[in-house]
Amino acid sequence: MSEKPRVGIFGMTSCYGCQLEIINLEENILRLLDHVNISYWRLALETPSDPKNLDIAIIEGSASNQEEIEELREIRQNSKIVITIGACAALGGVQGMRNLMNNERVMSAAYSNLSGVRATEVKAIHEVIKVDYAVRGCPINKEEFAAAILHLLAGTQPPAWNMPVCNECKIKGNECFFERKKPLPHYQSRVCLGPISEAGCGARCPSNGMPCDGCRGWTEDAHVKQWIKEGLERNQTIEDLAMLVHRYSGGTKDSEIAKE
Amino acid sequence: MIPRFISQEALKEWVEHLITQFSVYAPVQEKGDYDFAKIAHAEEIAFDFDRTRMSIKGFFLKPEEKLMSASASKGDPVASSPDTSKRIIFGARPCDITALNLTDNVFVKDFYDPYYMKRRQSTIIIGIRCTEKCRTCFCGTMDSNNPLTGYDIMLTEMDTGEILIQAGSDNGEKLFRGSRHLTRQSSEEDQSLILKTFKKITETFTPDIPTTGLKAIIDLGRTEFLWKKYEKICLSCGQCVFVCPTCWCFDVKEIVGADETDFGNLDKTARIRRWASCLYKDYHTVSGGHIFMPTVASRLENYYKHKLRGIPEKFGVWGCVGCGRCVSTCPVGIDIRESLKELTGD
Repeated sequence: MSEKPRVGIFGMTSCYGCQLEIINLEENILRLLDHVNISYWRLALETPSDPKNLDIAIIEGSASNQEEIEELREIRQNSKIVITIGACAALGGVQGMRNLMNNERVMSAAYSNLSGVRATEVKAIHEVIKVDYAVRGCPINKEEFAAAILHLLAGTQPPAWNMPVCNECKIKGNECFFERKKPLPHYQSRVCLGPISEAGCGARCPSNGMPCDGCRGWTEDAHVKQWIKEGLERNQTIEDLAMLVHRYSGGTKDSEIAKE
Repeated sequence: MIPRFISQEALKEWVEHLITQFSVYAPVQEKGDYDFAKIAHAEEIAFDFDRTRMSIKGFFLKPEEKLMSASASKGDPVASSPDTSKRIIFGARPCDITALNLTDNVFVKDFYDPYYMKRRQSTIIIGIRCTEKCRTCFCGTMDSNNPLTGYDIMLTEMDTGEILIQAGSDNGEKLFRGSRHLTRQSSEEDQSLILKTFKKITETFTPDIPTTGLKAIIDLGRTEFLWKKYEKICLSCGQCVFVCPTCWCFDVKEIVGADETDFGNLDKTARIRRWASCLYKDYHTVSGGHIFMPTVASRLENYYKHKLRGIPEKFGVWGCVGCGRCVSTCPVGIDIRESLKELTGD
């Protein structure tokens, strides 16, 4: 390799937790730096940096105002490959729930003075610009992120996960939270989103005794209606179930399902 | 070996003795169900188990394993060698042993899979015969409650509480060398006891779902209604596949920079094998994006026909062993016993 690829890391509307996960790679970041130059990273670079002529742009967060939409378009023009990280970028994230609510009510609940607020409808990054690859999750799995970068550097496709969390959960040998005849444990007020949510996290939550939260979004052929029916049979209210399915992806897809 | 008897107390003592020589895996109670785990004491064994959450297939076909590693620039493929230290699976149920015999057909006879074979050869299987039906059992129908091979020792609890020991292999017989004092010889008087117990077991596991016309019904193609019905409710979560002792499908992935001790070294690659499910669209997708089985109905049809039509024709036994794990794990309550009844019109 003659010159190391130039990487820019950007943050849109989000908690910056995914970028923190990259920092949490700790000494392995140095090994990644053997292969790439980070030329822009507002969160972690001390020196002024340059967001132009990038080989890879890594974007966290969703587009929630006009400035961000314009910044995203600029990033796309200045980069060869665009990777998004996290649930906000891939699905809209928690703030995406705003799209389903009365915008003014949400705004006035959050701010006492609305004069400076410029929020628009929340959009996932791929709804604004072309995205080449998404590392999903809330937050991202740092190992998966590193693996995706290494695969790109080696010139191969990063792994794809077109299967539900149940796959990884069963591989880990976890107890199932969604068995039909089993009563929900007293601490479990919600049902598991595993059967309709995309894998790749290593069944992180179920392995630690919590039902899946669906932070990676739905699988391609998720049967959401049936999942809701099953949830209702498990004594959940339709409001709770709708909130669960829309927690991360509320603004961006199939919001009409909640109405049924 | 002439069958011998062992008392329940002595059995525990014998297991303690085995633990000093081998890694022993046995059913323990865990998270509200039974599962196989490595035990340090015989007391840990949940002797009242009916069947475990997962079958024993994971001991031989690992949920996830590295098959080989290689250098991207030089090649140099190095196959991984599975752990071949001697181990014992204590408490395999007859249905699981029947499934294992069937698995041998595929991974040893059809295609020799060294990873599977090495683990199979280094594992001693001590079966415990079922005397009662378990939660979701229909092994009588699937003819899997009395495997004739595939175990090294088979234990059967008699009416009196004593346990009958039958050896299924030389390895099994050897396990009792040095522990004969824990057992007692069977005599002629025991014959009626043995016959009585086995008669009761036979009666318990009498087939109760008709399967005689199944082949004709499937071949006639009058099955569409069932797949269409299930398609409406199936979540395609694939859990039935992972708990099934006769589902062996896997996916192979190539990983770059895979060495944990040498992070970021792009030259190091690995080939990973992991459990896959034929109920996922991904499983049927090939290069270029074509999907061989695009609908859930077609995938369910494939799943059922493979077990009820394909395997019987090829190997002469049912491809389902009637453990019913899929029944208890299915989040939407699809029940293979009901499917069979619907197919055969009962």
